Amino acid sequence: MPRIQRLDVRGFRGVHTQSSLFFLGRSVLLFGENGTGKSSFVDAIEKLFTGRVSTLDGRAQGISSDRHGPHIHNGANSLAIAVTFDNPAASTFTLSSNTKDLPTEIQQYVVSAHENLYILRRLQILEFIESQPRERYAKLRPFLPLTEVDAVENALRQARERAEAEAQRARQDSERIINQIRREVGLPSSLLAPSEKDVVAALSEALVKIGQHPVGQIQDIEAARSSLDQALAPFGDLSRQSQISNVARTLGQLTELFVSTNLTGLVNSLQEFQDRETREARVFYETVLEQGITWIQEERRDTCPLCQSQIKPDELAIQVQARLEEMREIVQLRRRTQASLEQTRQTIRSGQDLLVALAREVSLMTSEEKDRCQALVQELQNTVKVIWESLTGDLRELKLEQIKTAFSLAGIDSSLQKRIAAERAHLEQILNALPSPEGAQRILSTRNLLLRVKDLWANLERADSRTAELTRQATVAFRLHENAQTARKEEVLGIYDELSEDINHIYTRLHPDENHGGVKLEVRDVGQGSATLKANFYERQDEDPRGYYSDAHLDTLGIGIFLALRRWYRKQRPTFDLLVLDDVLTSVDTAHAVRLSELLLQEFRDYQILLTTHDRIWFEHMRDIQARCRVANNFINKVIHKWTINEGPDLREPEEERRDITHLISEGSGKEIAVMAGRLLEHILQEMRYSLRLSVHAKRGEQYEIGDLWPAFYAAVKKDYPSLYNDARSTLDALDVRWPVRNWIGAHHNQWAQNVSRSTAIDFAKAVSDLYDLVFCDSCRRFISPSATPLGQLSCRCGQKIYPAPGKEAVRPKTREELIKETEGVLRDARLDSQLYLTWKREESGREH
Amino acid sequence: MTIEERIMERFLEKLKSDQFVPAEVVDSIRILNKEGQLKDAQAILRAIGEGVKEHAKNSAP
Repeated sequence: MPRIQRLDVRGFRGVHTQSSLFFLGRSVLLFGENGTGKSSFVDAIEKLFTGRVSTLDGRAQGISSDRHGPHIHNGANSLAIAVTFDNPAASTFTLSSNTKDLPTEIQQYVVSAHENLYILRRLQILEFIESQPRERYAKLRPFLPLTEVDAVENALRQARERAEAEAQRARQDSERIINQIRREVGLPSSLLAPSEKDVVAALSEALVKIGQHPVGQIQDIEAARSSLDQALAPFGDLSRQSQISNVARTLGQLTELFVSTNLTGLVNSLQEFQDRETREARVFYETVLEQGITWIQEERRDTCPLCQSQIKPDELAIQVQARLEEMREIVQLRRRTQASLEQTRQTIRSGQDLLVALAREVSLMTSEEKDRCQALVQELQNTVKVIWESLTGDLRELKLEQIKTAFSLAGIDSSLQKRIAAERAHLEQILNALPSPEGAQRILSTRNLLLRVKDLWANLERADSRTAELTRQATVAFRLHENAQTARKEEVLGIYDELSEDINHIYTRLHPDENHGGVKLEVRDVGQGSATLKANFYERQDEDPRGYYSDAHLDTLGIGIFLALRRWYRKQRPTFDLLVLDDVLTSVDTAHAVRLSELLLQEFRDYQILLTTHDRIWFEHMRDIQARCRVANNFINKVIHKWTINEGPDLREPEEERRDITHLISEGSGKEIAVMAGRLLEHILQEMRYSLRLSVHAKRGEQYEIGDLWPAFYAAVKKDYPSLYNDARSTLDALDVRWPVRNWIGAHHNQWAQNVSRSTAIDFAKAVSDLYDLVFCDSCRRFISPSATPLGQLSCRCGQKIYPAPGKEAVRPKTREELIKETEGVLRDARLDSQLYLTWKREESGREH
Repeated sequence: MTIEERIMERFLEKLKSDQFVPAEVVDSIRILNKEGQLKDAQAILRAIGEGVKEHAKNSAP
């Protein structure tokens, strides 16, 4: 599993010249006071892996990591960020790297690190809690890689919509055929769905009128036709009469259909709708308003879901309701117009059906009438096509003039209607001239009616069967989509449960024996894309934690949620183990911070952690906790000694500076020697300021220099630590005279300082090196600090460097093992682990009761 | 098994126990899933159509 070996940053955020943070495959605890560049390293990691910095990008308009990321004294071109890994090839990933060139394991690492799910900053702790359910889900979304499922769900939704539309069309076809049957047999339109019985009754009535037997069912039509054929036999061949009669009748039906179309109603309605929409509602988005106000009310939002501006939900709800009210007339008008349009379309579809029948009948005619009729059929087909096209499209897109022109082609005064009328008259004339008695005409007419109804009934049965089949398919498509949504919802809920369990585990560990917790993440019923956060508080169950929890509890809850999410993501990507916590520990009080640290070091010991803190005391505390949790060897503890705009964070170790001084004394210039010695002296004094609690005059930003620190240090050693003073007297006295050399030569440019000799610089450097040797232990790598007992003693951690208290023997500090041995018994481990201590306390409490 | 695979598995299980979805359709959907065609709405519609017809044929007395 690859781990970070080192992070190199140049020209980014607070880092000017090249600065390297060495991880060496371990975790790093980085201490630096505020404004010393700790977060610059965190920003660099985020920028390198994700391409953005969450504290800059998207924070406010005009602020971005591209614009504000580069150091102010660097152009963007000199920016460089690189991470070197500890894999055998020591792969380096930079801002310009092509991931394809990296080994597979590093590619996977980089892909996993692309989603920022492993960096938590102090400012972001409450982000998840404070989010709306929808935004919260968006934050969880990277944890839920559902791209494929989204695509499937989308396809299922499309299939469902198409199947429903097909079924709807089939239903309309059935209705159209029913209308035709109703017209043929003269059933009232109030009879919505005439049954076979109704149709058969109407046909029987027609048959009885011409002295024929009634029919009992549609199937009997064929027998009735035979009977009619027999009745017609004495009249000779009547097929020509039959053809002419059919064509004349169908032409009559077409004329009636066009004339009866309520075009005026459609045109007026459409005209009014388009005018009002143009005039009053150009930017009226009914759905947006309706759904937007639902979100705002349900989620108690105080920002607009579209533009994120601050809003007053109650006032906005009133405004939106008023706007919807104003628009209600338009909404109703739109519905009315749509219904009118649909009705007109249905009429034209019926016309198309009649035309198909007419074409078939004309094709059966003899040549004498056929040519004229075929020309008329062609003209009718062209006209119906133009009319249909004028009715195609959305209500807003329909062209009124085009509709009017198209319908005028088939209107009552149109040349087409005149031609139809002329053709009908011509056909009637032929019919009357044919040798056909009136009785035969009536029988023939009834026979044709029977055949037409028989055909229509067969069509209706086919249409009904298709409607039933398509409705079944639509039901199945609906169920598929529903099941897919439910499956996803249940799975997401399962993940939420898993997360909730871990959040609770973390939260309870941070707040043992407190009557709250029971944190739950839930999918809301109204939509899948949400995550509602609930928690218990004493007897209150399933409440929004913001309503009851203190700020501190919300902070730990926020951290708990982040850690649970991080752990969950690790399960998906086991080889990616980076965890970055930027100054988050100090947002909670000491007791909780201790538990949080223990939890981190125990339960996240298999992560590579970058932990930053601005609190010196906490930094030292964390080092103790590392030892207690037996992970000290997993950590590199680094101190940023100071920061300047031109040099950036000073991460150099004192040993390195000590070695550099030795080297420079033999080869360097006076100025180089003085600068390096000054830097080491400053490091020593910064450390002593904390450990000896030196009293110095406060300075803005706590940027203390040698001039501020030396007098306090010298006085404190002389007064409070005589054994150190005795050992270091000559060095301290020498430095008391020589420390300004650093400023003369190194820090400030002085013409006269050019004359300061190299030997003066060397004397200064040697005195600093001697002081370093006196106060820093190379064995435990710690500076000396006051011992707890006896008072007045100074020693390093391991006890190799001790300056006894006045009049007392040197007391070597106890090692951890010695301490455990000495406290054998009930408190042995409990003192060292607050979790064990609490368990013991509970047991004690149980025994007392 | 990834989350997506788990969701698809759960989806197919639900279909299997859904009385409104014929077994023939479930089989077709399972095949489409295996072939990675479940993102094609037209293919789904075809599978539904054929499955429903097949079911009608199989359940005819």
